[in-house]
Amino acid sequence: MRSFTGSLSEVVQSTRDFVLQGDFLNGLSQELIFAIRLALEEAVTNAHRHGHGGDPDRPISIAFSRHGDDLILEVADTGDGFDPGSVPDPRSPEGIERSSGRGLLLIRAFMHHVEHLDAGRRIRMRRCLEPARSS
Amino acid sequence: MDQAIESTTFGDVSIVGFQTGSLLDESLVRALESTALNAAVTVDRPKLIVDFEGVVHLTSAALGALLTIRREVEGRQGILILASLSPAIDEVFDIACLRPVFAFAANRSAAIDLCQA
Repeated sequence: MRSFTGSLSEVVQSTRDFVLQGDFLNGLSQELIFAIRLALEEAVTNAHRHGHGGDPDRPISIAFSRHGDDLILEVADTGDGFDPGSVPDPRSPEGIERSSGRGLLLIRAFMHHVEHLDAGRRIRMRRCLEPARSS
Repeated sequence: MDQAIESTTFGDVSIVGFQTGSLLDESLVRALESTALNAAVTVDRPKLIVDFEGVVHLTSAALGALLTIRREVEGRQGILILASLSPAIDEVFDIACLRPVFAFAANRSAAIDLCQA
């Protein structure tokens, strides 16, 4: 696990480098790398913007590991947490024109399993890396 | 302007494009929004194309920026066309149920034809 601080752009860049330059991604399809990168950046953005209110000095922690065909990716903040069930559906007629609020929707679509832990301060995402089993 | 963004015109059509391999993340999204809005507010009935050729990644921040740009363009009775989406980026619009909200074209040439129809 490593922690990152800085502006949102800096943290997005640093965490992207940390995760996507790992050797375990060698040989993965562009489709898989797209999914992992998108989920990572959405989770980091949520942590920075909502968890920390944009405070660049508060650390965002990233951990990732590969278990067989599965990638496990975790992003944690030190904020007040949140109730994932309270997030409005951005596909609703009221939400479709909104300029924000689609991060969790995309994470859930591109990862195969998503858990919210520690009262919403930590998100654990799993993605199967075996193309034959991808959904 | 961000060096990863290019802004050109074709007749009365403004076109915003990207360098090959662009990651349309938080920082580039702000540049996209600024460049596109600048193009949209200089004329009545703006005709604007955002050409995704070369874009290999985007996040929900880009969707939000495009919705903002669309509101501005349509508020001026203009037209916004999104062109050259890769299959992965296309899927993001499908997941977000934004396909009915935007107009799409397969490539820049087709988008120009739509603007001039």
